[in-house]
Amino acid sequence: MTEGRNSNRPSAVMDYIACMMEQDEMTVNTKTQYPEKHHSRTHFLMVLALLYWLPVETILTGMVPFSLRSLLLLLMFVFTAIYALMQGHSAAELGLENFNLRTSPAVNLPAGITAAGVVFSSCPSPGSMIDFCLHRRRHSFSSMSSSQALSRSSFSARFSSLRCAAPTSTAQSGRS
Amino acid sequence: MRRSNIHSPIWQVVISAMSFAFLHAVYLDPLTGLLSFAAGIMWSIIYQRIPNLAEVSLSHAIIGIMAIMSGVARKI
Repeated sequence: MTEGRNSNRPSAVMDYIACMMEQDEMTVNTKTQYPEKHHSRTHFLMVLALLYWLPVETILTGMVPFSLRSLLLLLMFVFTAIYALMQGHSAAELGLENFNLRTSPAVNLPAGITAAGVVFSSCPSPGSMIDFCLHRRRHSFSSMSSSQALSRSSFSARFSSLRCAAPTSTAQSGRS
Repeated sequence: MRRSNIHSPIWQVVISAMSFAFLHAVYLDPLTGLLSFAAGIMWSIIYQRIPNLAEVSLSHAIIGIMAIMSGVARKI
């Protein structure tokens, strides 16, 4: 009974998280022991430049079109995975663990929700998502022909066109 | 980074966040870059405390969806 009452206190939640983190640290000491193969910092910078900076530079310089960014990201993932396999990085070293799945949401969820709120509040056009939801049904087919809709490849392009078309269409319907 | 003898947690966080922010330079949007850098710092600190890639990826997905829906991560 006493434990049940105490578990309702906010500090009890923090104690629980701290306790689980201690358990995880004890587990990680036994699980993530791996032989480390050291590199020079030049090697690290070269890997960082080739796998992370060079693909971005190819888009910025126009060598690869912006529309192929997802494919480039996939290629980056493949090359990074190949590099990790070649270097013998363990799953634990790459963060692919399951022993801390309990504690991780307790930290990631509040931080993620807070950050999502910050991102949404710093939106350049506040309320665009609400506008999009309100006007989607009315203007998805009326303000755009089927050939126009098919010609727009990305979701963001379609989203922005809908958002821009919404006030005009509303004004037109108001006049009529 | 640990293999390259970069043991300082601050440098690890800063290098990770800068690389992450640079990946978003393709949008050519200063606000996206700034938010990416801030999010990169947050996720780096979380990853240092709790090294779990799956949860950080999930968190990135949630924030990414919110960013795209609110019009932040779009090419200018």
